[in-house]
This record gives sequence, C-alpha cells and structure tokens, in this order.
Amino acid sequence: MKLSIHHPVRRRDLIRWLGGAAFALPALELFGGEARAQALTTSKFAVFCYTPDGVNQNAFWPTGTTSNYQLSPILTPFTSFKDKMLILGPQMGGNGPMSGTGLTYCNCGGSAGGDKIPLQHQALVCLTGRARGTNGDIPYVEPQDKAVNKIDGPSIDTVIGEAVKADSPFANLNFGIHPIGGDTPSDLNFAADGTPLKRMSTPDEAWNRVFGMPVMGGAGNASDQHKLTAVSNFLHGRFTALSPQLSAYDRQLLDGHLTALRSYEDRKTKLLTMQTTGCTQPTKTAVPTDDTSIRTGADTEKLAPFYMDIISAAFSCNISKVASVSFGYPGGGDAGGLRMPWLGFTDPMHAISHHGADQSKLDKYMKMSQWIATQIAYLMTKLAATPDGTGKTLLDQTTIYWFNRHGDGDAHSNTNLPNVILGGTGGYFKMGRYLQLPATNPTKVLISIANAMGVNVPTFGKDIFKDTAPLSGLTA
Amino acid sequence: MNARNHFVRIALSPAVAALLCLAACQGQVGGSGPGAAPPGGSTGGVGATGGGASTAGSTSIIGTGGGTATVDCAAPHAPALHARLLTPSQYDNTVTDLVKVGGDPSKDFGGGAATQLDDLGVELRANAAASIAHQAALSLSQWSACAATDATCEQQIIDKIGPEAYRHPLAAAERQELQTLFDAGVKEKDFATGVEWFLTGVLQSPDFLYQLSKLQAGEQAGQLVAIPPYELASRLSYFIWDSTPDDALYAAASTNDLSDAGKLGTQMDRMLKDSRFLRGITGFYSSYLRLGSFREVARDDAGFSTDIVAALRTSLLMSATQLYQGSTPANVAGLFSGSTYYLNGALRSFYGLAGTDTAFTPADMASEERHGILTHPALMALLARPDQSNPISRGLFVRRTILCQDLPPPPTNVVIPPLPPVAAGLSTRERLDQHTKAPLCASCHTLIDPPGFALENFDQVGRHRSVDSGISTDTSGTMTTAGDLNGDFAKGSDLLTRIAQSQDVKGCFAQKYFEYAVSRVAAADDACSVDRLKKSFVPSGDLLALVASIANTDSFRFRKSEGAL
Repeated sequence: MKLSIHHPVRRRDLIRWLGGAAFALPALELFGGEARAQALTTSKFAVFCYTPDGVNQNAFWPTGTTSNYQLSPILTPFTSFKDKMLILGPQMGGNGPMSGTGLTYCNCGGSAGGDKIPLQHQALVCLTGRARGTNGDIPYVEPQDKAVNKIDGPSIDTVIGEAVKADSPFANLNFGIHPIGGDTPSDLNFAADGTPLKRMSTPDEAWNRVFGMPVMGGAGNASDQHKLTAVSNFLHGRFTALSPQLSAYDRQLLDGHLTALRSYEDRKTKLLTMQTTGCTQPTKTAVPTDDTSIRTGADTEKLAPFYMDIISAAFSCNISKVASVSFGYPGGGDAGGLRMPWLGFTDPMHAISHHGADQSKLDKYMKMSQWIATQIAYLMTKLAATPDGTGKTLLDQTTIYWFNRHGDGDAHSNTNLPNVILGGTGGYFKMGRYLQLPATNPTKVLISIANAMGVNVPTFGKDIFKDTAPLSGLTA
Repeated sequence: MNARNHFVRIALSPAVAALLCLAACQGQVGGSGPGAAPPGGSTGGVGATGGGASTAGSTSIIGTGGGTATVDCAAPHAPALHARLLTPSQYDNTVTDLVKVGGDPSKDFGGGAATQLDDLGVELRANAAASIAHQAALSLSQWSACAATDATCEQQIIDKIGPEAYRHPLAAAERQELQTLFDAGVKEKDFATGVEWFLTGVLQSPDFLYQLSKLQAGEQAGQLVAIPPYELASRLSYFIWDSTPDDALYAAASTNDLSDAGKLGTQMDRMLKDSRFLRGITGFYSSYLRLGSFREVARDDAGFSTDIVAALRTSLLMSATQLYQGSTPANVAGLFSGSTYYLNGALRSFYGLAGTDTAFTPADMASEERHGILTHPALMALLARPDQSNPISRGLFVRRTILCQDLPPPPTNVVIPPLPPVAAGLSTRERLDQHTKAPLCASCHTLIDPPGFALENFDQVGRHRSVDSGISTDTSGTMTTAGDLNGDFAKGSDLLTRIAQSQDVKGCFAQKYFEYAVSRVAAADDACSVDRLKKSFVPSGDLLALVASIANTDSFRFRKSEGAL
C-alpha cells in the first residue's frame, strides 16, 4: 500500500484503498492521527441535471400538502427517496398550476398563448442567472450550437466547484447526452470568465477525461508519470521558444493554450497519483455509440447510467465534487431532441413537447420525463450505496438539482418551472416537502444550493435574473 | 502576379449591396437602425475599416454599416494573418502522411481553425497524440526508413519527422529538444518507447498543431510582409491537399521557387493533378455545405437508416468532386445545374430508382426538377426538421452560403409563436406563414423564406413531392435582393435555373472558396483580392483556375504586419 498522495487523506478514500466493502475499520487506526482528523471533514457534492423542453404539467406536480403528498407519474421513480425531495412547485388553481407562480423567469409576453419566451430559448440562464447580451444580441453563427457564446460571468456549478474543489482534479464535470446540436445556443456551464464549458458527449470522451487515457496512464505506473513529465518539459520548452517569434495576437492565443496545458497536466498528475494509490475505477460498461444508436437515440439508454456511474465514482474517488448532466439540448438539433426508442416510440422529445394538447403526445411527453427521473433516481441509489466514511452515505452529502428551462414546452413558458432539489444536501435543506411557491426568481435557488454547499454567494445573476438572497424557507 | 486593375470599383456584391436592402429587416427588428453591424457571418468582416485614401481610381467599399470607404487596389493589400489550428481533417490527413496512422483520431476535437484551445481541447489532443504515437511505434517500418533500434536510426527519425511535423527545417535547438525527449523514452525502457514519447510530444507541440506566421526581422506594423517560403508551402498544401506539404513542395520552398510565378504555377499544376487534391476539394465542399455533423441527421422516415445517411453524404460530395474528374474542365455551372447524381443501390431503392449496384453510379432524376447540389437529396435532408421540410433553414442557406448575404437572428425580445403542428390539410408553407406573419417577424422572413419555399418540392428526406400534407406544393415567390436574382418566380425551378446562371452566385462561390483557403471571413483588406478573384472567375466559372487564382492573390501570399513586440 502506497500512500504518498498529494491530497489530504480522507477516511472515505482510505476505505476504498483498503478494499471497499470490508470497511476494515481497525486497520484505519494504523494510519493514526491524520486519517482520523480528516475523517471528520466531510465533503459535500452537487449534481445539476438539466432537461430542456419543459414537462407535461398535468403529470408532474404531486397532489396533497407540503408534507403529506402523493407523487405524480413523472416523479414516481423517486418513491423510495420521498424524504430526500424538495419539490419547488407553483401554486395550484382549479385547472392545475397557476401561471406566474412557482419558479418563474419572466411572466412576460402576455399574448394570447400566455407566457412566452422573454429571451429566446437561452438555456444559459438556468445556471448563470444571465442572458446573452442586453439587447438580444446573441452572436449568430450558423449553426447556433457552434456559436461563440461567451457571457460575462460564471455558472453556479463553476462558482461552487472552484470553491469546494480543494485537491480534486476537476472543479466540475459536464456530461451531455445526445443529440448534440440544438437550434439555439445550448451552453449551460460557463467558466469564471464566462467562457462556455464543453460537455463530454461520448462514453470514450467521458471515460478518458475522468479516469485517464489507457495508453497514457491506465495502468497507473511510474512510467506514465515519467512520460508526462518528459513530454511536458518538451512542450513547455516549445512554447517558451516560440513566444518571442509571434505577433501579440498569436502569443495570446498560445498563452491561452499553455495555460490550458498546465491545467491539463496538473489534473493528469493528480489522476495518475490516484491510480497509483489504488482508487477503484468503475468497470467500463459497453455503451453502443455507433452511428445508428446515436441517430435513433438507442445509445441514450446506456449512456445516461454510464454517466451516473462515472459521477458516483468521481465523487467517491475525490475526482470532482460537482457535476452536470444535460438530457438533450434545447431545440433538439438535427435529431429533433432526445429519442427513447426503448419506450416503444421514436418521436424526438422536442417534437413531443410541442404537444398541442394532443393526449397521445402528452402521454409520451410524460413517459420521457419519467425516464429521465429514473436516471436521477439511479444516481441517488448509487450514491446511497456508497458510505462516505463518517457513517453517512454520499447521497446524504449530495445536493441534486433537476431543472428545466421551460414550464410547458408547447408554449415555451417560463413559469411553473418543474424544478426539484434531491438528495440529503448535507442536512442543509429541510427535505421531504412539496412547496407551492409564489412567483420566485430561480436564481434564488442557485444561491440556496451554493449555500448548501458551504459557499457564500451574496449576489448572483444579472439584469432581471439577478438576486441577492437565497430562497427563504428551504433550510432545515 | 496578375495584372492589377487600378481603376476598379469594388462592389463587394452581392453581399454588401444586399445588406442595404436587408437593412430594413435588421433595423426593424433590432430597433437599432441599419447601422447595426450584422453579427458574424460571411459579410461581417468585409467592412470599411481601413482605407481612407481617396484618389481617382481608388475603390469604394461599402461598409456593412452602410458607410463607404476607399481602398486603392493598385497597391497590394492583405490583412494580418493569425495562427490557425489544424482542423480535424487537416490533423487526420497530416498524421496519415507523417506516420501512416489512419482512422479519424481527431473525431472528438470539434472546433475550427481559430479556436482557442481550452484544457479539454488540450486533453483531447494529448490523448490523440498518445494513441497515434503508440500505434506508430508498433509500425515503425510503415513510415520510417530505418528499423534498427540504434542511435543512427533515432537521428534519421528525428531528421525526417521533425521537419515534417514542424513544416520547416529544424534549428539546432529544436533538434536538440526533440532528441532529449526521444532519449528520455529510450532510457525509460527501450527504443520503441523513445519513438512513442518523441511522437507524443511532437504531435502536441504548437509547431505541429498550428500554422504559424513567425515575425520577420525588422517588420513594422502596417507593413505588408511576404509570407516566407516554408510558411507559404504549408499554406498551399493545407489549402489544396488539406494536408502537409510533400518533399517536392519543401524542395521548392528551399530554393525559394514559390515566389516565382512560373515555378509556382508548375507546383500548382502538379498539386492539382495529385490524388491528394481530392482531399482538398472534399475539405472545401464539406465546409461549404456544412457536412460536419451530417452523420447525426435523423429524419422521421423508417427507411432513413444509417446506411442511407452515410451514402447521402458520399453522394453529395461526389456531386462536387466528380466535376473535377470529368473530361471537360470543372465548371461551377455544373454544381448548380443538372439532375444526375451518384447513387448506390441503397439510395436508388430509397428514392425509387432502378438499380442495386453497391457502387455509386450516375442516376438521372430529371423528372424531379433537380438542379445540381442545391436540390441534392442530402442537402434537402440536412436542411429539414425531423418530420417536415424547413424552408427557413433552406432560405438561410441560399442567402448565406449561395449569395454570401447575412441576416440577423430573431431579436430576443420578440414573442415567437409556436409553429403549428404538422397536420393534414395544412402545408409546411401555410404553417410557416402563420408562424411568421407578425410584422416584426415578417420583415426578415419575407427575405428568408421565399428561396426556401422554392425548394418545397423536396421533403425532409429529400424526396420529390408535389403534395404536402394534402395540399399542392406552392414553390412560387419573390426574391428580394440587390442583384441578378431579384424578382418574382412562378415556380421554384425558375429560381433554381436563375441561380445556376447568376453572376452573383458565382461571385459568392469564389468568395467562399477564398475564405476557405485563407481560413477566415473576408476582411476589409481582402477586398481587392476578392474582387479580382470574382472578376476572373465569374466569366469562366473554371474551378481549377479558381484554386490557382486564389493561391496567387495578395491575401494568400502576403500578410499585414501587426508589429513586433
């Protein structure tokens, strides 16, 4: 057993190194004071799960009261986690949710169809509390998903991730499920300077990024570190040699590259170190990502749990404490949105979300959201099965935010957002409740989640989305 | 050097001229008046930012904001040249040429030539480099002249791959760095490990990953600098072959032959006849027709399988590349006319034609009002929604790609009514009319939609139709533009016929090819080069001559210095 690691040893890590399920607690004593001291410091984790296209509002909200409620069809997969749910609902009227209540970006519009899009389908507002531009000047590059979509601030997952990162190689991990594309800017996650963060969108990409490239370091042997060092020295030499030969513009471009290279090398070093210390990787399951499965959506059924496995392992191995998963992209791209052929139909989610009150479409809409709920429930099950070393589980320490850009996809409404907080939240929120909120700025929830993660965010967002306080009444 | 046209009025048409009439659309929706510059797009850079010298015989450039400036084309002009990241196809082709490792190692890279790499971009390239190096070390004999595991062979490998990867002769210090890395690997384990570490480093080095313009001694800001021989060799080969130069091109660079018009012409002739030219035209048409994510196109049609999608992409590219293989000189007119496509058996079956051959052979779809690449089933399927045609994206394609015009995105403060659902008794055109009839929407959509409506005879998988949702298709419309496409068309086929003959379309095509070659949107300082290109290309339409002309432009051969440190 080699324990020459760089990050603080925590009890959870030790358990893994010592063989996982055995929980050889007496052996822990061998490591003396450090392990014990560290064991008292528990990490918290956050997962942001995004769904575009709204939900079937009639099948989402529970019935009953704040503390005594019955789950809706879409939320049924969370039955065993009812005590770990905080449903951020709207106020209900005779015909369902009252427009302009609950989490609401903007109850503007006011044309015949009700609430409409205030600022296009800017998914980026969800985690940033910002919209692109002040006069609607989305930089338009065809196709739009390739648009240069830089904004002037970070997303909340970056704020939290950077604050709680400590010695984790990653501040946050971002996963995307097919189809890539989308007919509006679809970025959700942004770096501190507002640069959009790419999502990992294939199993290989995710696996290699989180656990290291097999050729480069899968075995985790000393030679990999030597290679990384030798190549790194060489590359840094090249950047140094080239710099004075370049124009100011190019030098800046390469300086950015070099910064990124350093960041990569730092992360890689940490990952290699972890491998040599024996942190257990999950078994890499086969995910079909041939062209057919990507186009039909068949890969999604395997890809979603694959991502959840990675997130669970990443948390348990201290690789990251924050993650995001996008279940499809706004507008759906060339494939028209997520497709779930295993549910018995191949309609893409975006097309289904424009249900026009057609009952067969509403049923499919419900089933698709329900399947997404099963994936989040699966992650919760995985986290619940992983002890954190303090007598609790990872789920106890995790805050999951399942959020949407729209309330009802058909109307592109921005009210009655079907958003839910899940997990133990480190005991921060009082869970097991179904709230019925008046019109509430969703940015408040972002501040609340940051606070739950121990990160003080006095103000967040911009313009009409800005807020300066968490949502009251959430905490335990 | 071409004879210079001193007394030229640069119209930069149709792009800029068209903007004047598009200004209404922008002004109305943007609320900021016609002075609002179009955000991005192909015309955004061709503006009046430079010039100012107003002499007789100077050239007027109409700025995108509606203003004008003048540039004297008697003197050579070129904008600054910035580092260009190898595109994914350039990366793959270069790796194949260097170490004979195939596949598509760049498949997850994404991004274009101007991308600022973030740490994910760096990581993807690190992983690709490690993987390629590993394979190459196992297949040394495929690409290395020596196979002995000794110091002599190490020298040979460094002296071959080093200059090829950096695309210029190695300086002593550069050579030493490479040897240090190679030696470290040998010392770690064995010779193969040395090869692997060496290649892993080389393939991640900025020298390899970027086309760089190094400062020249004493250059001054604003001064025009001739691109030096080795950089020009790279520029030529990435433009024409979508890959790295070969030995003959390096040899020409080493003797400074590329600055001699005659010798450059000889190299160009050779390169255009080389089989690698197919990569170059494939690269251009993939970019021009935006085929990057074509494999993910999914349409609601049971037969629209992965095989069909793959075959469609091949077929569309062949429509272009086969032009260059024929007995007659490739002409742009052939791109936008003709009803013969190269189809394999699967496509023939899908589109209801006879034949089961697995090869792609010519098939005439004359009865379907087809007009070259614009009506190719692949392009029609690409420009569609999963369950319907998409006149908006088709119209935007005509405006942006075929006419080099730009249109703004919908303003963000507008309420966009949902598109009515697909239903019998309501055609796509009628549904769209409901969607865009609000005055705010209509101000742009009266410009965007008509060329899309002209293609309404093709559904979401590119099949011909004359009835849509039970309604006879209506492909008539009015094209509003400052150029030779302006006017009413009684049916889509009429507009398509005019497109095939349009000078504006040819001029835009020349500009698009130029922008691909220089890997940037045409800037103000490119105006003279672009204008000259158009003037030579529009009358002839000769596609090979266009490539040669582009390589001869000032913009291709010079850069404007931004100054030393």
